[in-house]
Amino acid sequence: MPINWEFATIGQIGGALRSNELTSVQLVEELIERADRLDPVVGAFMTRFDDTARRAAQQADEELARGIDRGPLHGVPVGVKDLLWTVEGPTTGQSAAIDPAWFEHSDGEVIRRLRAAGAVITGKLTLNEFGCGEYGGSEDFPLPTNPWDPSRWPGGSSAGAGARLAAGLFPAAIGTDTGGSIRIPSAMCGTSGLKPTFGLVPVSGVVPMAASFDHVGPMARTMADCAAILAVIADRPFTVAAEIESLVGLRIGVVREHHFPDTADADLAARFDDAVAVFAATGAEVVEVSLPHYREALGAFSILELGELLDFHARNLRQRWSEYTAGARLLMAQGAFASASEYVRVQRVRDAVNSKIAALFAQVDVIATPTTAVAAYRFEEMAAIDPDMLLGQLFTQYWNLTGNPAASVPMGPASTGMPLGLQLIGAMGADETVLRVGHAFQQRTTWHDLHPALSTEEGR
Amino acid sequence: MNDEPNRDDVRAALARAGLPASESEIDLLVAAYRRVRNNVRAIEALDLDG
Repeated sequence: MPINWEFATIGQIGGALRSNELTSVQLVEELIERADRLDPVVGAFMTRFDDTARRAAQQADEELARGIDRGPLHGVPVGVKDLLWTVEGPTTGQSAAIDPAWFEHSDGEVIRRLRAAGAVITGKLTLNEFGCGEYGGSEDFPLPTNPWDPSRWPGGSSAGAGARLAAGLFPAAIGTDTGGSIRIPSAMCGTSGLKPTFGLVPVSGVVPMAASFDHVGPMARTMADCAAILAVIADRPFTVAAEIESLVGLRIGVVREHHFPDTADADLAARFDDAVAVFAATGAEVVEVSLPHYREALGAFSILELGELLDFHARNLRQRWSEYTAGARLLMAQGAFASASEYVRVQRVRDAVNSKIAALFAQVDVIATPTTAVAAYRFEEMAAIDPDMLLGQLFTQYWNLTGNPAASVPMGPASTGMPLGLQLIGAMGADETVLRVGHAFQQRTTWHDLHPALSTEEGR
Repeated sequence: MNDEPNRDDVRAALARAGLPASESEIDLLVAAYRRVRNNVRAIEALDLDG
């Protein structure tokens, strides 16, 4: 059966490149043609690097022909969120308020590592302004939509990455995650993503949002592909087993408290119960756990994140207030609402939460929660959503406060037919355990193999 | 402490930070200000040793 290359995994592409079934140039050309057709709908690209991608693909093919093999990402197209510096073009952060002198046109460390591994950087991907403001939709900034239903949000803020993966416009992306920006679009677009342990992947050459919460991480179709990308950008080995993974001996902590609000999707509990049953079938021991100081931790996250966000933008914000979108500037301004002594007190709460979470991970190997309580909203619904209600539906921020590795994998459809995500969290530094458990889940489910009709109908 | 923060509190906080928000934006930020202050109060009430 022929492979649909637009929906192929990194592993499938790698095998085809090495067996001469496919060249990197052929793949890049196919994806460029596909982007020409679909990106006006999906709105995934901020900037495309077609010419440099073609040259990089040609170099990758020539190297493989000469026996030079740089590893799993050799010749594989990768898109990057438009917060990461690349030598090809500007880093806009999807903002009209940016000073071009802030960000040199050079590669950040993650991009340098990707190129050294033979990856083909195909373009910069859309987000909301600096990862926190309003989405585009203007002439300058495309509006990213959800390929499962273009009237819906793809999740944020790595919106273009999630949307583009789901639309079959490339097999791998690099996102950033300060409060869930890798995991939320992964959940809402039916793809896979990992926020690594804080500090594992360098953030040099990445426009910050809130420095003590910022993570750079992989977005792809599967956890196995996320492992391949993480190995490159973290510069250390990460692998998952090719054979069916047994989880005998692992303890999975299941969290329900605070994660099933009244506003949750009607099918969320059933999807989550099904996912938990999969783990039980792998031989893992499943136990119920609670997260310490949950509501206070989210309050602490909010206060610290807003303060750090304002700290980075304050000088520019005073001078170019009206050039930021209203959503971004009004969020940044909230960083002025807590005092320095309160900031210090909140940091003590963060330390206390971290200690208790470390103790919890002495009892379990992985914690499982829904990634969000709901699937993707319609754009027309979003303006009317109460911020407190929305925050109560996103279960990602707690893990930015603590820095633990956290992944999202598809766990089936919501009542709307849109994808829902399963969040898997590990102890600090236990990224490989998270990848392993997510991979074991995907070995036993097929949700990650589903593609939206937009892509399949308008595809080849 | 003012138990019911209002637009004057918001205006003062923004002025301290040098942020040139309009009066209509200050109105929009009152609810956010109350949310932040409520978070601060909840955290101050937390028994970290408990």
